[in-house]
Amino acid sequence: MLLSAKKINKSYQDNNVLQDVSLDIKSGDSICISGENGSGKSTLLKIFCGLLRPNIGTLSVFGRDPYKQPENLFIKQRMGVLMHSNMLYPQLTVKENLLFFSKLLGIINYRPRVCEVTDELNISKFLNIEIYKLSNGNRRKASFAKSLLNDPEILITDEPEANIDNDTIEIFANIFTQRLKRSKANIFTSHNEKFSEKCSNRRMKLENGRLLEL
Amino acid sequence: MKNWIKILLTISSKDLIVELKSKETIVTITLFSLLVVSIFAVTSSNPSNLSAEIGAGIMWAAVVFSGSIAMSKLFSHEEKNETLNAILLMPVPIELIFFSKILSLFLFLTISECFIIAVFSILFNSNPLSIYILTAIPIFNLGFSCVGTFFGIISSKSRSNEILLTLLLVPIIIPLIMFATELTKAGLLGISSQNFNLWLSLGILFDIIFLVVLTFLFGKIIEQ
Repeated sequence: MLLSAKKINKSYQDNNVLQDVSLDIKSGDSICISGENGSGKSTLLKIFCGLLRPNIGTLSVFGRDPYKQPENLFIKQRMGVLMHSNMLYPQLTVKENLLFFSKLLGIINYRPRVCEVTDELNISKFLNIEIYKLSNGNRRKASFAKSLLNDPEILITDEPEANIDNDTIEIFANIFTQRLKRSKANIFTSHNEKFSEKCSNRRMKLENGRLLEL
Repeated sequence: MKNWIKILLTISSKDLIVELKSKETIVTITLFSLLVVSIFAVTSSNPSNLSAEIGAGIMWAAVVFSGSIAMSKLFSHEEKNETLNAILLMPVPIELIFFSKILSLFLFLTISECFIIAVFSILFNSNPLSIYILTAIPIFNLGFSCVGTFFGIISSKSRSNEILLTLLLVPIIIPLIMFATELTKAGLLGISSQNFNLWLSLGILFDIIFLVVLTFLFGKIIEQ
């Protein structure tokens, strides 16, 4: 099992966002989580990638505790994350950002890898342009490139298709399906029916804090 | 160990590149400090005869307040762009993230202080550069960066982060300010400080205690 969540509960003050959420993710799973705005999708993904801690419940990723050091370093090396925010340095160029994160990920041949992912996402021509000068769509692509640098075993993405054009959605969808063919796991949230249908083999919905399999 | 140093240098050199492009932190510290020093110089009837005690106080007060403004700016940018979260998602020990931020701030403060000392010596017609100030600068900068990084990250979550950081930071570093002022005073007077060893021990002890305690607490806070 790549990721196993048992009875995850998360509340913000009196607002119970997640209630007894359990989920197992294995290699080759591509899970799409849908739900209304504010239903707790982003919170759940943040818990899965270790940015948030649940109030109650247990989570293990690759059989390890994501909140304990040095165990979580093993997890982080094998996980890719794309959240709502692009999490990139606006003053740095696309290349500088990607090289920086490649070094932190410990990728040995990081320069060819950066070229590979930027080619795949069709942003090679923007490599030497600062992030703040890029359009929202291209920033999103650069951020997606960052999450693919380590060819992650689990790719966690929060509405990857939001605010991007149809051609780019197609590129993103191809990356998801290619990953599935190589038995890599994807977990993502989406409001786009077509995209989620194409990219997922398991569909779930968050409703009233509970995760339901569709 | 070699890998740790590599990560430390990677994060700090990234901070330096960002700073070279944005010029925000160093420019904030330098300009604000120069403004404070200049105000004292123009309002003093005879700046050349300013007592060493006041001179040293002016210099370090300028560094402390401008430094805290620059730190809150630096960390609020990290918070706004969620770049600290991006680093937290990388396979990097939390302590290394803390050390790298300390190293970056240490460098920014040192560069800014070089300008401040130069302008101070011109405006007040005195030479603060001595073995005392050269000892005070690295010890002060290390302690200031350490406490500043810790509270900077905590206060960046708050809306009134600039005030909060200064309020949290200044009372804690008072022993460090006393240490730096005492040594600068000795440097300005050109005499040997009688309690040099005592002040030096205080400064070093402050750095060691806060570096150890805050490194431990930083890990705990981030984990939570």
